[in-house]
Amino acid sequence: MMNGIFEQLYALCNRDGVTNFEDDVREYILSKAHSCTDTVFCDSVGNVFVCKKGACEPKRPILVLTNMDEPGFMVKEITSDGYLHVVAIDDYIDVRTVLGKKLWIGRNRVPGVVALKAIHLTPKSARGSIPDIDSLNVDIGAANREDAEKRVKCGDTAVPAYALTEMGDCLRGKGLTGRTGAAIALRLMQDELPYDTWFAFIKKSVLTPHFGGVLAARRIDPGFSILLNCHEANDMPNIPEEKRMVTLRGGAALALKGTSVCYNRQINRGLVAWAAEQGIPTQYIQADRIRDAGQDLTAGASGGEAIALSVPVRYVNSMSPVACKRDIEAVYLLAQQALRKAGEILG
Amino acid sequence: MDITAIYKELSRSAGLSCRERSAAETCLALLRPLVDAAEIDAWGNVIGIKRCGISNAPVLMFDAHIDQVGFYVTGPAGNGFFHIGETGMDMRLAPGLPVRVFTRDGQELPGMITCGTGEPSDKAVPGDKLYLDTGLSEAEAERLIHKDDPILCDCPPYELPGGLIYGPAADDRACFAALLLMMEKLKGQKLAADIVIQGACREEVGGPSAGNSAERIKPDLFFAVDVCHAKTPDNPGGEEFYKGPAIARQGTSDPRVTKRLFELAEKYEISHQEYVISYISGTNAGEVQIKGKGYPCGVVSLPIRYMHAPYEVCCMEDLVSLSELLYRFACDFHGFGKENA
Repeated sequence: MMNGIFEQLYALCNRDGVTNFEDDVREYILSKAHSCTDTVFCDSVGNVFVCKKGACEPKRPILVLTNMDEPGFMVKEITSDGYLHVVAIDDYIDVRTVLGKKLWIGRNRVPGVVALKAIHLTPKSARGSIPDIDSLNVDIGAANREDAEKRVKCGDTAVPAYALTEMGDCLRGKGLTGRTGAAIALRLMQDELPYDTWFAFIKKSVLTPHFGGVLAARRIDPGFSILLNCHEANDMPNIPEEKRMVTLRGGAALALKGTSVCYNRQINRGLVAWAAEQGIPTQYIQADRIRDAGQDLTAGASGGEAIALSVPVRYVNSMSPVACKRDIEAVYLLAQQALRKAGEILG
Repeated sequence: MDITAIYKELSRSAGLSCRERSAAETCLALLRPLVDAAEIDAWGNVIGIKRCGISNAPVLMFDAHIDQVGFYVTGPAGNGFFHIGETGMDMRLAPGLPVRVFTRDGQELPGMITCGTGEPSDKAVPGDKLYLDTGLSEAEAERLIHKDDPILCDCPPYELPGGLIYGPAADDRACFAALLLMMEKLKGQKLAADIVIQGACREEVGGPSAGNSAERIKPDLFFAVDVCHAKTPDNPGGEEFYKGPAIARQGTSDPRVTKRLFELAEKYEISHQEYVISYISGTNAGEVQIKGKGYPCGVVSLPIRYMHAPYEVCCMEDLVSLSELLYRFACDFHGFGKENA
């Protein structure tokens, strides 16, 4: 049963879809959605909406909201000697993790290396500083601008060239931060659902986290929403325990509050109690400020209840985030249970 | 000989400085068919000899080091993480780097180097804030991973149009590949000197391995074949790709060797460029020249980009030119001592 999630996750992460350029990912989601329901459409800006029929019609709409984009870069200049200069979209990725790493540029995945002057040639006084991303040269092996332009154009997007792969009992690779929720949503869509359920796959979450939630809430006016997300796991040795927000292997992470919203306490408590009975690990996110689309989900015309279920992900701002497979499964199981309980929640 | 495939194999083989055994075995297997005898010596160097059949013939010893920069485990840091040390790696490039961890019981585990979390910063991460994460639970990680386990970049080499190869350990296995190609060309060639090929270990940590083996072999000429910094936008004075090996004019290289290399390159129309540095070579020649009673040394360099980075870049056309130049030199060598003393 669980394998379905990881198949979806591999398929989603190994497609490139930098924020606002999610076409390949959207195409995959549409193909999967069409295979299990007829009500599938894109809105005018490119978000995907799917309604899967369940055993009953709920009193008010139920919405599962997640993302489909990923952080990345865009080529802004090709130099006369054939190197690329790139900009980071929303500066989401920590430039320290970009130096010396490989990118895939454009639809043909032209490989490029983010070059830094060799350490031997760098004065000691300069070795402690990290340059801005847009001052770095990306080396695609071109002899000059004309040669480079045969392979790459200004405006091409670029993603970390780190495909999803196994690492211990975890997964490591690009796209995890944005697409783990989408993989869980696609898996839920394959279930026999207790109620008719809407799924929204939102673009541009990296750039504008409120963009999709607002549009989805206005369109669906959900009475109950589940936000499927990722949350930074900062369980590093250099972070004191009291400052750790969530931990890898800590299970599904439930948010108490998001941006200008408190998530439904009763639903959270019910899910945590159920999970404990089932032996499914859960944790509450220990963070004061969570940047998510939560407030938007409760802002439909008639208002509504919402919860946010997150997969703990290490290194969310890096080229190669890491998530534990058991945590992903835990989020799926909790989302499944929340959908079973949706009738009670809606009264 | 498919030199590109051989170089990629060498780039991927595992040979962190002081822990080169696996790479040494790969190098030995590639060298053995090209020489009369080959071994891994007591210091860990790969040594092969091709005899010319003349008694008391001069000995020409070529050296390319086979160790590489990387990391090693220095101890557990809790929660499944490990502290790390480095052997010449540019640590600014370490955060977020996918790596391979080679455990004591022979497993190769995937991992990554991490600088933890927090707000992005414009300051480089100090070494004591870098950790190894293998995605294993604390108990499993500490069962499998121990102090001193080598950690290498997980950057499979790839080729781009123009014959540029991007991958780890161009410094200096690209030069070892050039020596293999030279030996292939020397098959059946009548020579006036015994040719020794050394794949030296521990160069990146300044170890004495190359010097010790030179002391044992006592060559008439020790020839360090190593890399130099290629031209890039931030190193405009570097040596250029597609212009051949860089013949060094500097304090370590014997002027007779330098002169002969230029003459041979001109005579046989081999691409080459001049490489002038004012300081003592950072290659094994710097150490060997003052070993014992002193050995004449030659230095010739292959330009690479991004030395000591996860992806170093070498130009296969230059590698082939390097092998051709060394081949001509080996064919021509009769020993300096007898001719020029």
